[in-house]
Amino acid sequence: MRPILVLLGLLASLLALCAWILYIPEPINGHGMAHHTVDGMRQVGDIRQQSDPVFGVGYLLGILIYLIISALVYLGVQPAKRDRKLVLAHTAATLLVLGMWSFLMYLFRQYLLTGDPMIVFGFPMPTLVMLLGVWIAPMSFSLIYILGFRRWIYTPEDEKTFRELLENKQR
Amino acid sequence: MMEAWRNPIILLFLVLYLGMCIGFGLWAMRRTRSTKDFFMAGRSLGPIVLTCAIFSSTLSGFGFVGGPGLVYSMGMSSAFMVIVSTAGFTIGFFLVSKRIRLIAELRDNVSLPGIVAARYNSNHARFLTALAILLGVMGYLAVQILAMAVVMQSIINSVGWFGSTSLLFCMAVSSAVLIFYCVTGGIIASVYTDVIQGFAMAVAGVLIVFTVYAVFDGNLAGASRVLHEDDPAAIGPFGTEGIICALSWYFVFGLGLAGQPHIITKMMMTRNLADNRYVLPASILGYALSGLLWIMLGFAMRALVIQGAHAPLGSPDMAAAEFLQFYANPVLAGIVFAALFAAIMSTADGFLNVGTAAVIHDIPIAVRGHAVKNELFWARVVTVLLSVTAAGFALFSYYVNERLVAILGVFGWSTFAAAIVPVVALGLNWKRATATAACACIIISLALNLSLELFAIEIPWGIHGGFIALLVSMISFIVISLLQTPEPPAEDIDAVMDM
Repeated sequence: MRPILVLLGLLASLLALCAWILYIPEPINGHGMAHHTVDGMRQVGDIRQQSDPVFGVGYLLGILIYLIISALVYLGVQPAKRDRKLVLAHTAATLLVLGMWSFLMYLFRQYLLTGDPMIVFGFPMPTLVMLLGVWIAPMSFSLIYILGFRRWIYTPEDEKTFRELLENKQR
Repeated sequence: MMEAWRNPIILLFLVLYLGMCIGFGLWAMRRTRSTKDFFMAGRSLGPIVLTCAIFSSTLSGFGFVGGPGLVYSMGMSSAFMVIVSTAGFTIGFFLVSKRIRLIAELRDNVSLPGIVAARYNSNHARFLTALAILLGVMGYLAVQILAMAVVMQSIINSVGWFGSTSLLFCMAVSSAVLIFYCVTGGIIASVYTDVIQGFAMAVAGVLIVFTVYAVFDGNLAGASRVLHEDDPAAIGPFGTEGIICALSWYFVFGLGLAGQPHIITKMMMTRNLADNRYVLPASILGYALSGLLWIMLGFAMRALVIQGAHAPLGSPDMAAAEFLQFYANPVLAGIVFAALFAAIMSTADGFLNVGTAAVIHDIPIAVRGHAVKNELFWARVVTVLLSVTAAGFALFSYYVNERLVAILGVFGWSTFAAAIVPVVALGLNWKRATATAACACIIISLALNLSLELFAIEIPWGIHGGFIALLVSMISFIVISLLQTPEPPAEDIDAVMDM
């Protein structure tokens, strides 16, 4: 299927998911509330009251956003250059970001259920995975760009074609 | 000893930075001989300068002042605006950087609306892109100018040598320096100050981590426990605003990056396209190091206030300033304040540049079919006029209508994201996209963003309005294009899109 249609499908699904989220009754602390003692700060209080109603749709929202990012990256490679190696690398990168997102949500679920912060390197484990894992995982797409630049992004043939195009234009 | 001179040291760094800006302006003036130099730095930037220009432009004064303030106020929610940078830069490079640079050289374009006009062979699309840029720029610019004046006023008044300095005076001085180096040196002065800013921010980001570590006696875990005991959500991965809000920010700030004109315009300035494979990882790294300021300063101040070691802040936006004022080494504080000023000024400069190009180059071409005569001269005149107008906006907002600048500032990023991402990022990679779809999606995004801001519409679960606007505009763009008869791009553009 053409990538643009896949992208359209994902965007439409995201819009539908948003509509679904808007129908879920929002608790008073749905997106935070004023802190009970410090002016200018916000708090949640009962974190399960906030997270439980949207945990599942939140997970799906993340999955859809990562699939859109993945589709956009794929769209950014000229169709004729989308060879088998690219598909493999791209699939691996997509699985990695989806896996990292799923891991974060799994840890966050444990955080909600146990209330144990499991502090590692100064932060609760899910926060650490968000800061290190979720921040770094999309680098797998960057690696496709960096390592495959001359194969998938701007090949020596592209460079030659562009020089000729420019010369023809200047004539 | 050094502690007693803390505020004068910070002021000294600020004065040195302003002096350096003037120096860069004079130096760059000799290298600015044409509009191509003024707007595009002659398309001659090497990888280091380009890297700094790209990631520094991304982190404006908002990143230094607003970012730590958001973490102080909401815990980790706003970290999603930072951690999305890896995906955001990557999408920008995959979708935009190559073709925008090639088309710029092929058609000798000096602005983003020019690229849009070339891609769609449409002056209507050029006009609407220029208009969207101009609207977004005015708000952003006013925010930057106001931030510059407020920061300068706070630094000068904290020294106490000059009595109480007025905001108007600080705005006049800081705007004068900004105007001087923008007018004389154009984008060349801007990108070279970005290099200083970039290095200062990255170094400061790393040093701040050590400073925070020292403040809590190496016990970051202790600070996290303080936050956890007070409110587990705040130090959880989604902060107080929750999963849905954090993800909506992730989407708007990640995908939206590929639509920020002051950032993607820099991608047109590279000397050698092959440098992009180094610029991408370096930009991600630079932004990641600078992003540590955003997260760590807010995290530290929230913990200090909650454990009672520091008085509650008058405003969350004071988080960075208070931490630097009370806990950082004076030299580090000086570096960070200079970097903060640099961030504000370079972003303002970038906006002035794209705004001026829209007024002086694209709107006249779209309306009259040709550019104005003596473009370089008029570019300098319009740069001054835009700065003065934005300063007027900022003052009006500060003294009369507090919401105005905030509305325009928030309007900026979302407008650019929703209006430009489909038209540029999708349009440069999909031949089937049409000019009508491009025009329609710009109009839809302007109308949606403006309505959301003007009527202060709050979406449940903290969903960012820009998220809805971006989503709707992307879908409209694709659907309208698919419903229309294909309009093949011009032959040369078609050839570039085949690369």
